[in-house]
Amino acid sequence: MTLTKYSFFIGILFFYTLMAAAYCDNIPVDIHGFLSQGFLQTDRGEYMGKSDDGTFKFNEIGLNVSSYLTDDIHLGIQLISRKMGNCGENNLQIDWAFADYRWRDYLGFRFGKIQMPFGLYNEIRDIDMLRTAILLPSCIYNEAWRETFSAIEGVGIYGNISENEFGNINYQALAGTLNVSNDGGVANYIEQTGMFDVYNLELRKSFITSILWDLPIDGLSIGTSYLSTRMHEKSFTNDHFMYGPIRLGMDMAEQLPEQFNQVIADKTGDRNTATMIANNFTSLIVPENIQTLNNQWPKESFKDFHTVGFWVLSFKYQWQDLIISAERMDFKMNYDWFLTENGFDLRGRDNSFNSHSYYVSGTYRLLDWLELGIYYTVYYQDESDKNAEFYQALNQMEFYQYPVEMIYLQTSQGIRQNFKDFANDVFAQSGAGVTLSDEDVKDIQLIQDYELEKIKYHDFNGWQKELVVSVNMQLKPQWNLKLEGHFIDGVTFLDWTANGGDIPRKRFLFASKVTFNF
Amino acid sequence: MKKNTFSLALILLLIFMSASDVSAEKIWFIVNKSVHDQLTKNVIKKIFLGRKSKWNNQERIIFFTFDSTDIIQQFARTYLGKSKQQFDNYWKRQLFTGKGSIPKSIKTLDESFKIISQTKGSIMFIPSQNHEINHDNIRIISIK
Repeated sequence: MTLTKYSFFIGILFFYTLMAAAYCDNIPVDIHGFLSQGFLQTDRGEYMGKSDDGTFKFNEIGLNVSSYLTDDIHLGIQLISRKMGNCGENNLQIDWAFADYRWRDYLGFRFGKIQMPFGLYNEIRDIDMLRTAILLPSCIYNEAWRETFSAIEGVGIYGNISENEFGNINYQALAGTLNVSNDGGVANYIEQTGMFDVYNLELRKSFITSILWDLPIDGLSIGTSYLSTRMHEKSFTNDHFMYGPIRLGMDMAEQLPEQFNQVIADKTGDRNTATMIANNFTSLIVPENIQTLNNQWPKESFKDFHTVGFWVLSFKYQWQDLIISAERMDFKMNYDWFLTENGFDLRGRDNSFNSHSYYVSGTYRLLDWLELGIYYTVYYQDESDKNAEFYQALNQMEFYQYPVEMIYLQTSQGIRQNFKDFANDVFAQSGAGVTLSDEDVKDIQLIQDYELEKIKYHDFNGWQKELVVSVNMQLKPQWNLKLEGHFIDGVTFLDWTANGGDIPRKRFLFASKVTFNF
Repeated sequence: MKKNTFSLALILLLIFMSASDVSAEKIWFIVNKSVHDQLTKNVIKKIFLGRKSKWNNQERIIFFTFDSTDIIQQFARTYLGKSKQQFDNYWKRQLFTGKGSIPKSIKTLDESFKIISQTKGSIMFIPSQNHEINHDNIRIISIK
């Protein structure tokens, strides 16, 4: 039984216990909920699934039950079912379920599955009617990561320290595990270079701390949150062109020694010398860590992410019906990446990864029923490589630029020449009195029995920038109707590898959503 | 062109002013007689934002709202620095993140007096009255 299923049953048990206790002891229970249905359409390309023809695969249904068992103990559970393009599939899940013991206002304890206090809005990302925008700024609140970043299963402390002269400080610190699936948004993000297919993803112990300080200046708040976790990933290599040199090396180690051996044996009749020369030359032209690989493909690889850290700084200012907020996130990962078979190091570049993102937003309630919002968000996948030169350099790789067949032919040609020279040097030094000619080596060849997948990389694979304009109409206290336009530049968070890299840099996304809550 | 721009700006300003208009009606607070704490604007803010959950005698604070859009708007603006919608959303946020329950809203003055008089540690705001209120078990407080 997976952890997710286990926690689901614990949650259901928790739900029934809560209802039974309330019923037997006549304790009031609050039942609330929400239901929303949205629509997404892009002018070209896809957004979180097929969307260029418009899609209604965008909904949320939530049911919330909570009660104060005593003055200090609060129990609650929220069930949620959601769908957004390829994510969610409307499976019923525990959104959160926890017991809360508030010992003092400045110190309380929580146990269970708890919403993560990440940035200003992560805790309410499931609750559409509490914000102006339909989609929160993707640079920090990436929809594809929502299943993982919504809640943490574990324990925590929290409190409010409220002094007149210092304002109010709200803090939370939580430790536990995050929910991550092998085919979810985090796995897709890791896979987006197109170089491997994740089949096992585990997040180790995670910690998050959050502080929000309402300053003594009316309406002004600043905050920070830090999430730290560790991750282990297993994947299979695929037919990405980056593996061309490895596969060529493997074919050389597999196909050439016997051919070398045969050529020398035919010429000298000495099997021992033939084996010695064949092995020495193979060792010279094939790196040692490739020689020790078997000739099977694909191969299992693993990544150990020693550090996965997200640090968010938040700012919010509210003046009457105007709210200005801004947040900045630094996202750091540090990892090793090896082939499981022999520990071959697959890191193509520096093993650290620092991304940087921010957004600035403003909302204004123009009328009691009408609120307007705008935000601009920027995400750079690699802080030190804003122009995505890494991706562009991939397009310069030999195995991207030329057909594999041609590379094998040219390599065979080079090997024939070099092998002849190498063998003749050995013969000359040993005084064997034998010389290899072009005719002797003409049949040495490498056979290619595979094709490589060629993804075209762009500089805009390295960023995503969005300008978003929203209208939120609260027609009745329980009803919200929202309309939103996204002007998107860059494709970092989009599933661009599914299009073989053939994807437009800019697109427009229209979103609308109606929500009912009770 | 300039005249049109000026007219548009004026209309927007009027809309803005009407949107942020606050009724001049005064607010009273009624508390159960078990409550002896000194009430200030800051204490009221802490209570109605759920940051203070117990009175000084460690009794749980139970607070209610008066079910009138104008009164809630005036209360929220004056004591919390928020609009009614912001106040509503604040408590919906608490509810849907498991951190609290939406305060109960009471529709009439009579019902308010009844509930506050019967509930230890309770407090709520009501519209100010132009006559004296004498009710067992209730204290009426006006905060400057």
